[in-house]
Amino acid sequence: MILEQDLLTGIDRFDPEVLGQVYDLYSPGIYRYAYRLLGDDQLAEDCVADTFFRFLNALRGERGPETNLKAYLYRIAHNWITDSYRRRSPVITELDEELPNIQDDRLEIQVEKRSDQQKVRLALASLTPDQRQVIVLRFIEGWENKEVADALQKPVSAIKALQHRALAMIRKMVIP
Amino acid sequence: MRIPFLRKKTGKEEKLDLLFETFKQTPERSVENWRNGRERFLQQAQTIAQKEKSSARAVESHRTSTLPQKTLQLKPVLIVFLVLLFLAGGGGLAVSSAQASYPGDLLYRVKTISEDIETGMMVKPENELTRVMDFTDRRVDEIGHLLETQAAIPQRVQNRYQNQLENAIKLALAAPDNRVVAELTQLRERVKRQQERLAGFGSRTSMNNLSVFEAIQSMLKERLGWIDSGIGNPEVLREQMRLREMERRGTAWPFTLTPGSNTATTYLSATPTPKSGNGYGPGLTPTGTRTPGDGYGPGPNPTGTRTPGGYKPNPTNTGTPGGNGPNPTHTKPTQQPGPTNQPQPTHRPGTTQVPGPKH
Repeated sequence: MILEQDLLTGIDRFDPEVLGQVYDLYSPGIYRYAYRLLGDDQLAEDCVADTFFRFLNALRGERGPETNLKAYLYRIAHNWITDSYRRRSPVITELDEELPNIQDDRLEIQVEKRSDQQKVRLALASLTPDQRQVIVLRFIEGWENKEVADALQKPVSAIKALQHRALAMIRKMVIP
Repeated sequence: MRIPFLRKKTGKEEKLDLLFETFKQTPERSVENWRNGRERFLQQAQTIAQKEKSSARAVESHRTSTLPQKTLQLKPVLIVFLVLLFLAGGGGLAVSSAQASYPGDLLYRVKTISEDIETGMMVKPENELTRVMDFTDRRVDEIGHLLETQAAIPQRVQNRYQNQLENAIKLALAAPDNRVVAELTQLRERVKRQQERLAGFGSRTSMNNLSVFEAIQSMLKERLGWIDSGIGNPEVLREQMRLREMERRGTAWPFTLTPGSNTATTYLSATPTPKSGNGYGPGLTPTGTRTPGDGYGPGPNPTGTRTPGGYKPNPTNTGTPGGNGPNPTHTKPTQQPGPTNQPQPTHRPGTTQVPGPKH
């Protein structure tokens, strides 16, 4: 079991072993987080690479995290994704050419699944950055309110209010 | 996890739960990408750690006033050591170490030479295209690093990036006719991502690098225009590239490629001498009328006012959502590098929340 305090001590020393552990521990989750919101594997890879690069730069400038490394990294990734949303319009996922080779019932399921995912992605894109982060961390990543509050540096009550408003908006958008 | 409603869920809430469950499903990350990403991250960490150490050494040396002598004594020794290392069969090691170097580093020249050798040894154009594009990604990394560290971007790095992009376009055009559009489309995606990545560095651009940064962005926009025109009509772009090559060798009049144009006649309007409409920048309007800001220089807005999303400091301090620049109300700019890109201690409505710095 890796203790976060050990990681926090090691990263300040740029210990390659500890940095490797940090990457192994958090990069898969950050990739999934980015992929869900961006819907593009290459962009998700770029997000992971830039998140860890910014993390190193923050360490160099002694602006690294003192506690809750995970929340810190997700915050950087979240900012990257927010910037990415601003730079481009949301990706409209096109169906792959291979899909027709799938058996009919599976094809239907696949199409429906991708359509649902895209629907949620577009609904999330229309939320404010804070609302989006709350919904994704809380309901998709499965974080507790306290953890989300740490990541957003807001009180739990504010997180609950954001969550309430965001869920109402999403419901209106995705469920006719 | 399920949405923790205390009362019985309505049909809509259950449907939303299901949608979230579907949304959770993501494809597995490729192991190769994970390995490459990890390796790159550790290399970056090592480079930063080394710079930190050398910086600490420099400070220490400065205190004892022996820095100039030490530098002078160490440099030739280091160079001789590296040459001997290379001759003794450690060339591979040096080349390998050089791959993590940046412009201005001792081994950077080794890195560029190794790239040239590698490109020259490639036989299959498709392999060469992939590799050349990898090299352009490296240029973006280097430019990003220089912007991050507020170091000047050398002209040779810009030139190398531009030449490699143009080489990639040529290689894509050399693909068989049934694949050329696919190759160009793939190339377009890659260049587009590079453009987006560079735009992400915009907020960290110092005033010294601003014009260079804009020139690079402009160059990228122009090359994307070429690729677009190639996707529309590869034959026209082939001809444009051929003429450009001839012009480089001095066998034709200089000419200006018109991004987005699909007709061979538009770019053939020869411009024998450089004028204010040549070079980077918006150039002529479609009607051919020159406007203020044509030609060299940062563009038409002399006041330097940026729209939200720009990369200059936000002088109005309104906390607009798109702003990436530092907040002028804070007295420690190094601790407040920008609302979206770096950690900051406070949160203002409408801005992106970011991690807080150590104090």
